[in-house]
Amino acid sequence: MTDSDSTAARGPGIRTGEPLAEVTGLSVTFGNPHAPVPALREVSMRIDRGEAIAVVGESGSGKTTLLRSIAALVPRPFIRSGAVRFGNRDLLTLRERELATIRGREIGMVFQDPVNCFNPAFTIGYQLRRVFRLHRPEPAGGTDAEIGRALDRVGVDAAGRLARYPFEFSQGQLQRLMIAAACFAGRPTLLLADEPTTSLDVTTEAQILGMLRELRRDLGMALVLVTHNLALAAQLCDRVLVMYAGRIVEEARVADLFARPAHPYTRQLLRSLPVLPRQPGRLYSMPGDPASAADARRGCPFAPRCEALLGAVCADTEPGLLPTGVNGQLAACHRYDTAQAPTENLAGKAPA
Amino acid sequence: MTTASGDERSNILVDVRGLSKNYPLPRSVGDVLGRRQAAIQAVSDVDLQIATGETVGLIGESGSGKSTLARVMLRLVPPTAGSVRFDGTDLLALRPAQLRRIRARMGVVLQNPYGAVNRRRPVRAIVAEPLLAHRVGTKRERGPRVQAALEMAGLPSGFADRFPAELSGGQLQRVGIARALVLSPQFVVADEPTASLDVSIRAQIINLFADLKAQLGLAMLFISHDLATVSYLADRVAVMYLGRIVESGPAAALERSPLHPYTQALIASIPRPDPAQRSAVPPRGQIPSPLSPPPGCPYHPRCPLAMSVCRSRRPPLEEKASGHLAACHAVPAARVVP
Amino acid sequence: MSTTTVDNSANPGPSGVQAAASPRNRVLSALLHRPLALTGLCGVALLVLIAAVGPLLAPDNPDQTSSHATAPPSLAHWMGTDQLGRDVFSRMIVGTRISLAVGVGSTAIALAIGGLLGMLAGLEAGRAPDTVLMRAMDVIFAFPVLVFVPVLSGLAIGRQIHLGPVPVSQLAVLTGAISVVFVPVFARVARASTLAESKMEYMLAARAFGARRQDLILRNLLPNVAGPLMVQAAFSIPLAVITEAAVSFLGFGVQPPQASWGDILNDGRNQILLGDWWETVFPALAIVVTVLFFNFIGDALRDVLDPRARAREMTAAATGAVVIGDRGD
Repeated sequence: MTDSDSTAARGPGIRTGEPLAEVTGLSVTFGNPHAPVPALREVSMRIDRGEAIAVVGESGSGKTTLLRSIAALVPRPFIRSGAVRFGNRDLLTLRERELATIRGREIGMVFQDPVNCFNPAFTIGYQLRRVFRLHRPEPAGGTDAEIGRALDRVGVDAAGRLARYPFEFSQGQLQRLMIAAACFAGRPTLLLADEPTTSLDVTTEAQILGMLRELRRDLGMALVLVTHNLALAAQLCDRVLVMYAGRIVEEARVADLFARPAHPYTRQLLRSLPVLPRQPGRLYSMPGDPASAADARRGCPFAPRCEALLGAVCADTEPGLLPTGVNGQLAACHRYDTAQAPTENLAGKAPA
Repeated sequence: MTTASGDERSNILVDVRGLSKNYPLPRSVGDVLGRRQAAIQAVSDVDLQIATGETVGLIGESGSGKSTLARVMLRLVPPTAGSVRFDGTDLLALRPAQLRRIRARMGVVLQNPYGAVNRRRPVRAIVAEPLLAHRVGTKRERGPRVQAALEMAGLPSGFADRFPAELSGGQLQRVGIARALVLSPQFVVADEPTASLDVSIRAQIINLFADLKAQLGLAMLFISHDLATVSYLADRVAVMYLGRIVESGPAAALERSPLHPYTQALIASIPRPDPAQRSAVPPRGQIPSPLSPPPGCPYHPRCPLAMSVCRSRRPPLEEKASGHLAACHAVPAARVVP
Repeated sequence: MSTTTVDNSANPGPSGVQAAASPRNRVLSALLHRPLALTGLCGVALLVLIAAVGPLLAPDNPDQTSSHATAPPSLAHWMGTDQLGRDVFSRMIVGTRISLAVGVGSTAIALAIGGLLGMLAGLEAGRAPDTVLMRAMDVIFAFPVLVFVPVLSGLAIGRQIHLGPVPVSQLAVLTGAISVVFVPVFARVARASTLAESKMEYMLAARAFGARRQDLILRNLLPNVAGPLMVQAAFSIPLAVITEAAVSFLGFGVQPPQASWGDILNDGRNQILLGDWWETVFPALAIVVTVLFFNFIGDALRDVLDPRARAREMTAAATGAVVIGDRGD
């Protein structure tokens, strides 16, 4: 069952107007015909202007592949089906040359490990100038002035820094530089961030978090943030998509997700988080390992670890993304199939 | 470091005093003229005690020296100054053969589960390695011990014949834990054992450590950058910044009422999984490079409470409340009852 | 079962790019499933067979001179005859034994010595033994091969060399000289591999639970260093064969009546100017084909045994990564 029917089910007032970008029915399989490695199965998502969306998942969930697909960075042969509409074009049908004008200019990207993204052999200034000139050939006041302004916005003191090499900067500073390049070299309406703070210290992460909030507010960019850190999603985003085994298993507004998680995976995951102040008693943990799309067999891929199994239907049929009836929240769980479980609906109930 | 009521505990297993480790750097003329440091002070003057059966959590960010401290404590890296006593024996004075024997009483679990095991050997061989290194038992005797260790780590018997490439990160970390336990050690050092794991697996491993602690009465040094994880396991917590301990005390007290501004900032910076609770303003600035630590209190450039004395004199680590120590001029010391 | 115990049914392990069980299986499957490697393997097996059993099955006595001198290939003589009327085909078969023996033998010796020296250097990295050893390797590396080996080998021609009380044949001297020249490359591979493995956390863990030095080397280091060494051997054997052929071509190698491919080439050197191609082309072809076979094997082995190449390949396959150094999830 594809998720395109769910758009109608999202309820009134949730989304109006043309989306900035939309992914429909995306399926990606890596490897080769003899040893296929499925990564995404029929994933659809919608990104509205100025909206911040978190894509949350563990290893094998497919979240990184989804982000790369939005930027059309996944090689064409691996894409089984689906489309990524940005503006009025399907990015997956464009040629590399056309994509190069979109990436960096209209879509900004920030990756996990800033050290890997800068060439250690060239100065920061050299690399930044190249990126800026690529997307803004003739800025007023000169490229260096543009770069200086961008660095100010991200909290890096530009004075004399452009002549330095990447190894002279800390991880946090490099990440800020990458964000500067992503947000200011072009005029992106969409920022894609893949685990941007995972390799940073907690205090640095908090600073980057604050900075991203400000930038979004000032520039009005939409943001798709891929992370395994649910707390980060809570702090930065408007809407959260939870992925498991290559599919979206829950979609909700951020307040709803944390107050009333609908999918058993989300509920169990939230319970697994150690928080401060320390809760009394044992930390909840769910059994087993996270499944990836390649593990998906018959039935719901989460069934082996689920503590809210409905019955035989969970092992037989994979549930589609169904509305829970609350604020357009969606969950891929049979409990929200009114035909299956009219009285056992979990929606609206506080997490156990 | 004294604890509650100023009593010295009699069952101290690991006793670290004044431990320092610095890495000398080659100096150029420019360095000497510019008065740049001649060495990186990775660990400076650390005192730490761990009693039998006690879990001490060591918290810090990058540059704090927490991993270096662990390695120096185990004498995997030679210290520059200070002493480490294990069950009364001075580790640093031992000869290689004696050191090896004492190492049988310590176990180590490292951060990266994939790098911590020899990928060419099956699980049973990996877990049996410590037994072989100490020539314990015959082949037949080793088998059951390996099985027992695997079971304790939550791996069913079928795993013994698998190879690392077939296991997930969480399963590999359990193999590492089994290997650390196979010699029935008294003391385990865990260096960021959950940092590379998925969230759902992290909870499993935290609970595993809690169970092991309860069942085996292990003394443990649990190193992490995440106070929330540590709070589930530690009896006491020490916070490190730029190679020094800036605060230490009972886990509950430290978490509830942190004394040192850095600890407070650290706790405040942790994002909460609750959109209604927006995180507080993080500390400004960044962690200074260990190459050029600030004079006086290392935290003063970022500290909201910084006073002029903080710039010139380093605050000593002293008791501010019962069993709770902090190195900060702004926090009044505990009154010593005469 | 507590929730801390791993539930086997929940997940069989990392999915997708699964390696077959043991490292040995992976090597075998890599060799058997790639058509080029399989070709190489069969080719080498054929050569070994010829070397072992060929001389017994050769149509003619390779030393038998006859009056049919310099006859082109025919049904009677598949590769023609040389200027003394000897059957080239039979000589080629017998030559296989010598060429392969010298090639494989010298490589094996170089691997053993170089591998050991390289590991020792790597373990003492940065300190005196390492510097001394590696500078010695640099010196040897600088020897001009086609001066050094012919000189040593030539000195043994017609003379009885003794290693202590043991007489050493000229062939052995030749093999020994070639192996000396190959020692540095194996030492470098072993040293680099040792350095890389020493940084791995499992070595630190092993020291932490009190492993002895020799245990570390034998159990942990050796299996991981052996891989790159094997790959290097697969590429060095053909080089050794070429070196032997070159030295013999110069006349300093195996002496008549024994013949290796290089000798046959040497004999045919003048013939080719007269248009009699068979005495040069066949040995040359044999050398080319041998080199190809071993290279195919080496390529396949490297794909399996070189950890960095494998890691990149796995990442690329699993994530379709396009960026160099990109680490997928």
